[in-house]
Amino acid sequence: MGAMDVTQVRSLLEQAQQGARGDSKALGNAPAKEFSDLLSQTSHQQKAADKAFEQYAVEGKGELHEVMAQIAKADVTFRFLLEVRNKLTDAYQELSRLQV
Amino acid sequence: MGEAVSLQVFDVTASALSAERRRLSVISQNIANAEVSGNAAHPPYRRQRVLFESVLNDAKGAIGRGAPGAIQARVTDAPGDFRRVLIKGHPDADAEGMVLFPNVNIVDEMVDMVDASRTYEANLAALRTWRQMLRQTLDMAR
Repeated sequence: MGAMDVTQVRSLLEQAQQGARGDSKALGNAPAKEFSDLLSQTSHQQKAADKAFEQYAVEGKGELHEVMAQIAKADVTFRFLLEVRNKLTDAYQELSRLQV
Repeated sequence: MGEAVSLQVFDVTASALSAERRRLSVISQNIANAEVSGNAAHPPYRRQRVLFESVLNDAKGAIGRGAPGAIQARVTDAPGDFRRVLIKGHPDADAEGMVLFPNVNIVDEMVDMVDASRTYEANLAALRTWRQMLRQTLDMAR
């Protein structure tokens, strides 16, 4: 645990954002900001689950069901992130297939 | 960063699980100490009981872990007279040969234990169902 950090995805997102910034200023970057917030929220939950697990297993603090509830929260948030990401990539692929 | 209400449900259930676990540990303490003898000068073990109370639903979630609607357990002494048993020659016996034993009734403790276990199970079922509902809701996006 701990090797994978969701915020690493953010740098990819920022690169994509910079690439797309050319003439799409009218769109604004509110959706990108929201996606980035979702990323940090997910990351926050993952870290909280990590910490709860570590405190229980290594330091013997806390209770098992609290660890499991935190893991369940992280799981749900991550699945939500995945669904949003799938929607975004689907939309991108639809656009890239567009016949001009 | 505020947490979505859908995630606070997990904290509320976790607080109920904590309370039931506390209750079970008090029950096992009562059973373990059921035969501790004593006399008027050194009273035996007094049965403990658990009271549940809701954590106040204010902005900060008051006492508990911050989730409105959570519950917590409080441990108090249970009233009731100690059992008096005639055992002559017992180290704790008084002048009449009476020894005091805790006001613990094993049958009551067993009933409480089943209740605690079932309530724990019910809370787990609520959590499982909620998680399943969330997953099904996520499938709406497909």
